[in-house]
Amino acid sequence: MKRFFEVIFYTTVCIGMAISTSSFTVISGIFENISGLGATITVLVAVVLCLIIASSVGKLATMFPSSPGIRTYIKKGISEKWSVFFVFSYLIFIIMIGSVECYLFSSITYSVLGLSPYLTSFLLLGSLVLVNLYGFNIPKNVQIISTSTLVIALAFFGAFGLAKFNYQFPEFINKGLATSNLSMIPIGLAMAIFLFVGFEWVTPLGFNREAYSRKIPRSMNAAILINGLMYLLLISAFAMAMPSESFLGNTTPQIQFFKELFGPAGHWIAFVISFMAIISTFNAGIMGAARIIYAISREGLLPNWFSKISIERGVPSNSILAVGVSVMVVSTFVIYANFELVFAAVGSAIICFVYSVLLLSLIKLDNKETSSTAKGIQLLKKAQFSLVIILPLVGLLCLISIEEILLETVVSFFLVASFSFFLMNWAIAKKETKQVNKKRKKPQLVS
Amino acid sequence: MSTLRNTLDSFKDLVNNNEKVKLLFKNWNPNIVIEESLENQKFTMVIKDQGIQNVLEGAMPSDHQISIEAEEDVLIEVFSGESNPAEVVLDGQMAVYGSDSDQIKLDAISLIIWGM
Repeated sequence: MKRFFEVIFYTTVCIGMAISTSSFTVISGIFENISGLGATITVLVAVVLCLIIASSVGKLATMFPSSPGIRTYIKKGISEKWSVFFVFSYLIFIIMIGSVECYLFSSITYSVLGLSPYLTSFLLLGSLVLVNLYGFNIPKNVQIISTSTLVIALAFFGAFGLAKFNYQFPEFINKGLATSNLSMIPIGLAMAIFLFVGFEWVTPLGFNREAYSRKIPRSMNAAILINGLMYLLLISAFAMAMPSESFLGNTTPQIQFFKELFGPAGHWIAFVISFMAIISTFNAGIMGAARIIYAISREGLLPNWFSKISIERGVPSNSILAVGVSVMVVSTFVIYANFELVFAAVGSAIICFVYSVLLLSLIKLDNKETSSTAKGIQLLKKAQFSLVIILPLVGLLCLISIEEILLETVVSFFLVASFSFFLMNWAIAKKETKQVNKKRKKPQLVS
Repeated sequence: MSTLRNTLDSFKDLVNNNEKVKLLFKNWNPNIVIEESLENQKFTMVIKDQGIQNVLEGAMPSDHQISIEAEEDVLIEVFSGESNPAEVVLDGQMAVYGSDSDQIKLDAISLIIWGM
């Protein structure tokens, strides 16, 4: 029973981190480029790619159980310098996507409750920061139940939509072949990968060493397959329920979908679903980012201020504040400038590069450790190697996928890369100086 | 008595004589199982009443358990204040299985005692 609970916990963590409010925006983005059949193919290909990525991340987690993921994997596989660069890129990615999530949830709250997006964003982030500073942890049982309810509800609404709009597979194929621009699938693919991003967050959460040999890798695969099935149902239902032009510039298509399904009351369902989606991702995302900042600060890559902790509650108080305030500032900008699509596209591109580097790390570490000649393993290695090259290309395609915001996305991506590069050089110099001087400041403690 | 055992006993004395660590241990009563990976030595630190109550030989499972695994040299360096535990974990030399707050509290012990 305990073992079963453990596997379910890991699987729901992977599922919960992948389903967010921005998942619906991504679905909209896919439909802007391709129609139902193309979107279905795109999601199927994304499932296969993510299974390959998950197998690699699973192997890295087995090599370095309980380590803080990306920092350790890239440091061991490639170099200290690139590890620091990608850690900063990943942190910026979390802040950007956090602000997009905030914007989208605020938009839904505005359309349902009429609340100012700025106020919603402030209340959401403020309460989240306070809850985390207080050290409140959501019990594992509650996490499992809420995430399971969310994924089952979404799959059910997808299936219900297909039944309601009289889905017939041959008709779906014929219509798709007639209207789909299948050459746009690579662009859709970059967005579709984003639907599954987050499964890797389970890697530092193993209960024991045994969890890393089978349970965590299998949980990541199970989560990708479950989410894949759910998204296929949902995307097919979206395609049946809504005309393709209704997706243009529509960042919250779930509102219209649920209205088509349930009438005017549908927007309440959209609100509840979006709330559950943001709860499943947001808290873990903010805490995960705070934990990374705390860890690299303890290492000497950031000022000691970030490693200040609350002594009674055992929480990295300043890191939590730093992440909360950063997301609040950036989300205010996103709401003001309507930059949600730009940040979503840049975020998708960043994560493609991060996954590519993780795969490269594994290939390099694997070459040092094993030389298996088994056919299956050789095939997997070839697939991993191909993805090291394909993923950055897919990421770059994502940047240019929406013509109307081409300049903004390219400039933002360049700025993120430059800022990460600057932070990398500054942080490494800081760490080296600290090591040379052997002056380790004692962080302040909050009583 | 092994070097690791001696180190853990000294660590216990250091912790129990530090008032700030007592604050950190408030309402926190885990069993910390320390596993040395090469010779398979196991010890359990029982945290109770805001201090380390005992360092026992072997693994004593409990509902609130934290596990630490590493080679003996690494464990000795960490528990004697020669190595920064956060760096050792980031370097993949030591594995710590526990919740986020458990891991941060463990790390905070070395911050308080050795300021590292």
